[in-house]
Amino acid sequence: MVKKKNIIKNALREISLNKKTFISLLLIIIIGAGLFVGLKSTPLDMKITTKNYYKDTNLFDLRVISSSGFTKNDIDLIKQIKNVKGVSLSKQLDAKTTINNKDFVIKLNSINKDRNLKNDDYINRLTLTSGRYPSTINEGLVEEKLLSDNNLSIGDLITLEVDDKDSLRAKKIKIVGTVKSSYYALDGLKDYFLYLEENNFNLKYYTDCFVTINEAYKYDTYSKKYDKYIESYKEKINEVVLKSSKFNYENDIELLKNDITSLQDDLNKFNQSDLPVESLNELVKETTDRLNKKETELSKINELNVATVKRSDTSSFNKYYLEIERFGNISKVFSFMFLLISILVIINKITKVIKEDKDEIKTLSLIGYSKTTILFKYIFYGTCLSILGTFIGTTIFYKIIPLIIGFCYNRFYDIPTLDTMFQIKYFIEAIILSLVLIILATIILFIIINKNKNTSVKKKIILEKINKIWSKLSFLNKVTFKNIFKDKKRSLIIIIMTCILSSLILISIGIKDLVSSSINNQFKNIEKYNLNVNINNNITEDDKVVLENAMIKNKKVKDIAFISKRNVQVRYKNSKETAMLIIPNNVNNINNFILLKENKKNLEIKKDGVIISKKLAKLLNVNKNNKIKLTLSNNKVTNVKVSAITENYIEHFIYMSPTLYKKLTGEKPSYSVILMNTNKKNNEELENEISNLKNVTSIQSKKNIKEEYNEMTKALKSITNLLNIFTLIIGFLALYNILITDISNRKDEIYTLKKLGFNNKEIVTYFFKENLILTIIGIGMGIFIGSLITCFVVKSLETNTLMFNFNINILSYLLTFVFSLLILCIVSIFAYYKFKNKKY
Amino acid sequence: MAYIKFENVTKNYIYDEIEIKAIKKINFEIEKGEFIVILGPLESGKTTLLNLLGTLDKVTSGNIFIDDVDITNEKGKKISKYRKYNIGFAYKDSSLIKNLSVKENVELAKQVCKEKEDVSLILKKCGLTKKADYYPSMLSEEDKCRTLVAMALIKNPKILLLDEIVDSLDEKRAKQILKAIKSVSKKNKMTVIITTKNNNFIKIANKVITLKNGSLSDLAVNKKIKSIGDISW
Repeated sequence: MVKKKNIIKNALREISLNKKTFISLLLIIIIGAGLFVGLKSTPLDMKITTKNYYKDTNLFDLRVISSSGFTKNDIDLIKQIKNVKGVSLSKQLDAKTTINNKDFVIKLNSINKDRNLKNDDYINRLTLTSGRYPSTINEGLVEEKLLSDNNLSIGDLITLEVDDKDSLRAKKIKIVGTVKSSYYALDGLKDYFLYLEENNFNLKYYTDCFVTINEAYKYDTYSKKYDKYIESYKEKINEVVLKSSKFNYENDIELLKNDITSLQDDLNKFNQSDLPVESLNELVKETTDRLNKKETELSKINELNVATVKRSDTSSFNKYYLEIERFGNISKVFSFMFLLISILVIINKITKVIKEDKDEIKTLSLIGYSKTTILFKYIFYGTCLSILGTFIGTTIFYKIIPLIIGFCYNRFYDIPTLDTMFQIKYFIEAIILSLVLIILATIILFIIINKNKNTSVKKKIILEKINKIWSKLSFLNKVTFKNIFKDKKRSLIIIIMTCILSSLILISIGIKDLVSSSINNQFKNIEKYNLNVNINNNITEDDKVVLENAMIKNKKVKDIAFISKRNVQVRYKNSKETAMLIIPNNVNNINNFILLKENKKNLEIKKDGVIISKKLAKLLNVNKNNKIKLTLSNNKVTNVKVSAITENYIEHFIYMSPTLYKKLTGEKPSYSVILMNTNKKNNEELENEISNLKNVTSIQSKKNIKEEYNEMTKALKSITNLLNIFTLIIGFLALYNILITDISNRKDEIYTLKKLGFNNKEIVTYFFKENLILTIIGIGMGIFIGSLITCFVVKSLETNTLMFNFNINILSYLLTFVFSLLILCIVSIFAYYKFKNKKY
Repeated sequence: MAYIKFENVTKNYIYDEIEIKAIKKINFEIEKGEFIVILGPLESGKTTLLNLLGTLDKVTSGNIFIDDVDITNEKGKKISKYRKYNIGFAYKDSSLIKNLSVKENVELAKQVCKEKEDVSLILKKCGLTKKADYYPSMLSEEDKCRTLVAMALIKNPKILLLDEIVDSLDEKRAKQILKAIKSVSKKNKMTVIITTKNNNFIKIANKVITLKNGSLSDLAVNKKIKSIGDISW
């Protein structure tokens, strides 16, 4: 009994007599374990917060899109479907506004008239954050960000510009309040929104329809179960909407055609009348103008399109979900490494304590204590640190870290402040990991250190045997190398520590590098065209020529290419994917618009096979000369040979020549898309000019799409920068602790050196040389391991439609090297000042 | 003026919140080339006095003169430089660099001197030629003392300070080391100051400083200096 009590007393003494050391170690594991638990808890916190936000604001489960709009009738029709909870209609328009001489796109949305919270038909609810709701059509609600970005406040006016002047009644809007909108929350904050009274919109139809389903809230919105549940209602809603939309669509076309016919009749009448020339010309001109306008309008009405999408079909919802997944993948690596770093520091200290106690241990075993009893002291020390540190760290950081990360993402997504939840799973992981590693290391070190190993000191170090190098070193440098090679434990710990730190730095720099370089590559080198113009697919050959000439005449246009763009299903063995089939009218110049290349060699679309994009080939597991099955839009299935695989990072594409298409289907492809190369990058004016042309239905600017992807990289950059800061903090603390422990370990050596006459500067150089060489070895290993992990992590960031390349820029390696050395230098400076003030 | 002069030197220091008055108002003078013995029992302040002499520590009050220069308030850098080239230490409780052999330890000491003495010569004088490639973990106590002396001698310092370096050795071996020290010091007119508990060394010294409880209890000048071979205990 006395024996046990003494052992425990002895163990506690180690802590109480060296309080400062214990506390500094405790601090490190608090931070390490805290970061571990905090980072790992964040993804679930993000999901729960958004889930609750969507539930509280009654976010839509399904959104219906119809190219011919909705009427109030549709509400009742859709509600007749079983289990539909609520239906709401809104009118939306895109507008432009100029604030403080800057132009912005602003999304106009109508406010629900009945905002009673018990009203199931009030979907996509707003949260008023200041001010009041509009009472007239001249008033509107904006997001807080619009005010703070542009130095505006409630009461200020903004002026709106819309393409069709008649679509909006009041264009000078007074801001009367600010709101949060869960509908726009995930849009990435790139465009502003403005909520106006419904009466301000002078539109015949409602532009958007939203539906909620009973019991949908019971499912986790991010789960497949929810998607499956909601998916089952799509078809029914589509059916209902298609019927009523078709009626509206045909009605509208009928009306337009009638207008056109009557105008043409008028023209005929004027041409045959006897009115005076001047007034005749005026009338003719007026009528011709109206006729042209109506004909253009008719030409812009494409086929009737009705689609119902669920949340995960919308790009913004998906984007946010991907952000969460991405963060989860990245933080897995960092959280583990942070914990590992703090565990290493503790193991280092325990090593030192065991070394110092070597004589005491011999004495105790001579007295008769068993090795296990003696071992208890060190295991107790390590266990105390591990449990206490993890407990305190978790308590402090499980809230703080997710909040910091949430704050980071809030710069890009308008999500409320994170609700943090204590997730015991990660707390237990942290405790088990640290306990197992520390106890295991303690036992192994105890055994190694207490063996009588004096012979190893006699041997020559490896470097000594290489006479060429050894003879050229100065004596002091020889001492440096001897110290490195003979004190293996110390050298190993410093190498491992710097290896982990530099690999973490490389990972955060490398992720940024690979993601943005792939996206830049896609939009600079691969997709060379600037505008994607959709035209009426019923366009006549003559009109096509007219359109072509009109475009080429425009000085801003450099070159155009007609292509056919259609979704197709691709099958190979058991794999199935959807891809975009592109058939260029002119296969010879397609490389000016979309660069097809493989391994730096440009590809040609041949007559006997197709070129498919890299990621598609990977997903299907298909190689050159394999045959894939294509299901073309008329449900015809054909086999084609893959003649080449082109480098591509975003989405899936299949490139086919028109000759092959004709051979497979017997038809000519319909060229309903024009790719346009422009002379400048900024083409707002040009877009307007082109969109006003007859038969042009819509334009997409590559710039906008590129910005969407850049948004994704912005959030990623922000997060990796944050993780970098965490790395530097914990790295600094850990390395500092290790260097200080080392210096106090070698107090005798320093004392002797001082007596020999070495001054402070020389002693510091003596130590710094050793640490520098060890650090450089560690950085070398770290860069190697780090680049492997980077590729691994970046691979996990890929999605079905997004892939990255894996060539890390040399600059990233250089930066890692510099940063890591910087940490060593700064730590050494601090350690020097601490050592300088000690009296020997 | 004397080569080394202590004027009313007092040294107090605080160790674990206790103030220790190690040296209380000491005065003495030492001429160049003298062999000085500092005598005193445990805790009499010998090591502290030696540290002050060797400029490893600063006085609390009083003045120290070395070679006509008042070093009491000199800047640390200047003092370090002076100490580096002119003062050699061999303290009994010093440790050797464990990763280096005896010869390499002495070579390490050589790095800081301006005049290059021959390593093998010094090793021979200290009787370490046979053990030149041994590592500290393999050395006996007296070999360790000899190595420390060799490390101090190789610098050819003007002042050589030894703290109880021969106290743990037997007569034969102690005399061997003292002979080595005396021969090297005489050749280069080194001032040697050695602390000891052993009274028998009084006979070979020029001056004997006796310390008791931090104060100077006796300062004796030896008129009849015996050679090392003549003393025995």
